[in-house]
Amino acid sequence: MVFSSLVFLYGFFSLSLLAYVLCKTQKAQNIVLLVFSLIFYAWGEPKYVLLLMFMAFASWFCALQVDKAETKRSQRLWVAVAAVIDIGLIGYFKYAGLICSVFGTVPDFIRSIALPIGISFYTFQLLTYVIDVSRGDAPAQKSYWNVLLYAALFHQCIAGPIVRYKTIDRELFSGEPRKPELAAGVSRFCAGLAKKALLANPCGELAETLILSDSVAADVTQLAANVQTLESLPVLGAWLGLIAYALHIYLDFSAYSDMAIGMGKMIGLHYLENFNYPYISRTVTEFWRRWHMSLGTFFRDYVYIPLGGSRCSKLRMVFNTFVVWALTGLWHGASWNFLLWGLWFFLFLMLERFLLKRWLEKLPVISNLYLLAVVLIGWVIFRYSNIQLGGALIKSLFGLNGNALSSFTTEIQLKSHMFLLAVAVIASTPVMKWLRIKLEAYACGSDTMIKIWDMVFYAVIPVILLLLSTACLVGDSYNPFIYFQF
Amino acid sequence: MSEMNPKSESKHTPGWELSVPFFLVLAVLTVVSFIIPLRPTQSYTEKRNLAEFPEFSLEALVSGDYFDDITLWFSDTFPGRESWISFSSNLESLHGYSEIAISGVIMENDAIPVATEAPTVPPTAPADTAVGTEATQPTEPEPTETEATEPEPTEWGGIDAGEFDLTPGAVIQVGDSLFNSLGFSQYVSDRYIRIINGFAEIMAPKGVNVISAPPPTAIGIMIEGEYLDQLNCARQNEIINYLHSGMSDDVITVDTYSAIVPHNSEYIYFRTDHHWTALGAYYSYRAICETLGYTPAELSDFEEWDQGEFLGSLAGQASRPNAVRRDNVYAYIPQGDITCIINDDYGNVFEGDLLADMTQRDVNTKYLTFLSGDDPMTQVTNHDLPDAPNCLVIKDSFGNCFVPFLSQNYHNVYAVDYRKYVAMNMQQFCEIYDIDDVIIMPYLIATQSIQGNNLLSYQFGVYY
Repeated sequence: MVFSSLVFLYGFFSLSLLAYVLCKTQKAQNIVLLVFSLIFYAWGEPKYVLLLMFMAFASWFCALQVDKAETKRSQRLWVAVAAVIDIGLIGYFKYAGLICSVFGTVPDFIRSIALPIGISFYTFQLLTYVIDVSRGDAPAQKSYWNVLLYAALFHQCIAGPIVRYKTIDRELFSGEPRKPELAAGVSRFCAGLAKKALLANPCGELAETLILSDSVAADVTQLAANVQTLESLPVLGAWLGLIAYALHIYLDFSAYSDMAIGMGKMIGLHYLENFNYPYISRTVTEFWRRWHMSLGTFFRDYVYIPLGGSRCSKLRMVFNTFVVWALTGLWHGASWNFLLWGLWFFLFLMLERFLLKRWLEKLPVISNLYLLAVVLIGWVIFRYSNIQLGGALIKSLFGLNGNALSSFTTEIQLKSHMFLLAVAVIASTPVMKWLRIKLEAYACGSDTMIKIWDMVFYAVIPVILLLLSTACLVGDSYNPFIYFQF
Repeated sequence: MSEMNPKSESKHTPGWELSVPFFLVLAVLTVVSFIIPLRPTQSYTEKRNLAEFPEFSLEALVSGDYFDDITLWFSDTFPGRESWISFSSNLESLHGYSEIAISGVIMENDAIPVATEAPTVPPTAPADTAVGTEATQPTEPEPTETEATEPEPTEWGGIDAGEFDLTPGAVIQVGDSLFNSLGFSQYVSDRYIRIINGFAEIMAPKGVNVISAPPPTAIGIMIEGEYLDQLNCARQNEIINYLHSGMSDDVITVDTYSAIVPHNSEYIYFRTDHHWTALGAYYSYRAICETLGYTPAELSDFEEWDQGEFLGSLAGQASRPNAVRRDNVYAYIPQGDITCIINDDYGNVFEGDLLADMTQRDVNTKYLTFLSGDDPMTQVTNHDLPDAPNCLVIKDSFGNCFVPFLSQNYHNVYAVDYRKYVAMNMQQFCEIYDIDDVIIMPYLIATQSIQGNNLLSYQFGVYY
């Protein structure tokens, strides 16, 4: 189940809220959250709900043993056990095919392994829990069901943010009454929903029209035709498709985080931000401080720093960074292009550190363009698991396929999506946030004004966004081309 | 990397009561979505049955299909879906501005080879057939007063879900009109030619005329060639020339493109539907009669019947729905003592309406007036012409508005829908029903589709 589906909005979400508010005690509320979270997960992965439960069990058990251990050595042993189980399982379900392909053919039984939804997110959450307990950063949770709730909580279980146990331990399990921020949560949730339904989806459709849909690009039998399609794209079409894709991927992913944060606020759980307008960055270093921040901090705290971080020799630091970015790439998918994508950023991070940083700091607009170029080319690598397709598109971007600069149909596509793209670009920058803060500060000057502001921003706009998003989601089910249409 | 910095929100804390409207709307729509009778089961605009609630099975539950199907059912049958969709279409029209807009992907297509035999060169579209609203101005016939009668139940115009998978391609909006794109495939065209030649070769010794008259589609008639090139769509006169130049002397070819294109300032194609209008079909009928040496009936011999406002199959795919102008369906009632026997999908045989009264029916269904919709076989008999020849029409729904005209020249017209008919192949059919002329008229998109060719190959008993 995805947040931006009608069955979630008007089935699951409403019923879970209703059940939640009917509960008086925090314990009962947690039971409701757990039951609904398991239903949510089972809805997408009926089989693998058992895997999730087992991994939570292993982490719960290991963390208790870590807590009880009297020596550092036995603590490390139990952390290692948890890590072997978690990494072993994610390795089996996610990377077995890739690993086998290194050694030759991939056996059929490996090929048939389906990737459990959200495994990359909840595995990392459970790992951070055990490690944080061993470091004394978080207390060991006595109740298995509470660890399961932490890992399975439907707000963030399948698409992040990666929430650390210590971040929500107090709010989730302390027994103190939670402090819901209903209006702020609703506003954030609706903003995310609208970002997804009104902006991300149509940007994605435009990208698919121009630079191949995922399913078409993944069809190896169509490789030659796909390469030809990308090679014959006019330069304008290639850029349009790539920019639409870049907007889609940011708006889509950050919309999920917005909705998760909004739902959390509604019941008094506060998750940390996951995106901070990454496309306005001026360096790759800054981009990764603003993009999928919860993943970045995970790799920083649990890989980079334990390896020695930057407080070591230059060569060692380069190696540490290399490891982090190879893993970051592979975390996104078990395919070589993801590894390449991670290393693409590694390359520029090193270039910036040793060479470009000083220059980029002095050149505001040029540094913005540099960052966008690096990220956009990065998205080409990210999008196509076949390097031929990525190569064809990159060449088309610069007219190196002998492709035309523009075409009649591309100009039509541009004209018929120009307002959408403009709004999507604005939504990817802090303009609206800046405007909101300014208006709110202005409104705070008088009681009447602040009432009007609150009414508009927290009551009217969320309802409008909910209704507009609903219309778009119903519209998505419109599918007249499935059938023979004489 | 720096620690995550919570965004610098202002200190102002809005009160919980501000969230009440949101929760109210959420609650109302939740309640509405669980009132099952409010959920539609069919979509007239999409010509399909909507998703059904899945049957439970342990296998489906474990595989995840059960929940996936519930998710699909929930959104596909959401109460008020047509209104929501119409609203979201209007929202989409705000995405940009362009006189021409494309929805979907226009596929690459083959270059059309120059015909080997010198084909008759059809006139090019008149210069005033410019891209824009002018291209599709209909003539405004005087509305005819008709009495409202009890509506007859009618079947879908389309075919069962899942049986075939032909995607006609992108929908292109030009001004107030919508068009299906159409490309050319040399491989499929060559196969089509072989199938028709094969059938004609078998029928020729039996004295049966085989006539090829594929209806062009709107885009080929209403849009000028140079725009078609830019839109990566094939010129349909060239497709028809290619098909016909490959056909043997056993096939009588009718240049439907040249017959229709001079009339493209008239209302010969719908703006919101992929079909031609009955007027468009009439010009094709004239051309066929003239080729076969029959005297075509004049349009004034028919009584015009206004079925009312019509919103066709392409309406929901308009990129700018506000700009789309609605259609009207006009049927032409033929003279004479004419009966219409329908063989339906379930094997029932009954007397139906040659032209059904759809005046009081849903705005999306008006095209079903012609032959009362698509059925595997419909027999139209003109009892005033007992000595006239018999004709078999191999058709899809384009043929529905065309067949009534033939009643003026044939004793029996057997309209076989090649997508649906399964009782016998057309060689046997001709023998059993004493057929003199076979008019083959799959619309041009079907001639360029593998599925369309598979069906025709099956119907003719000619396998390539």
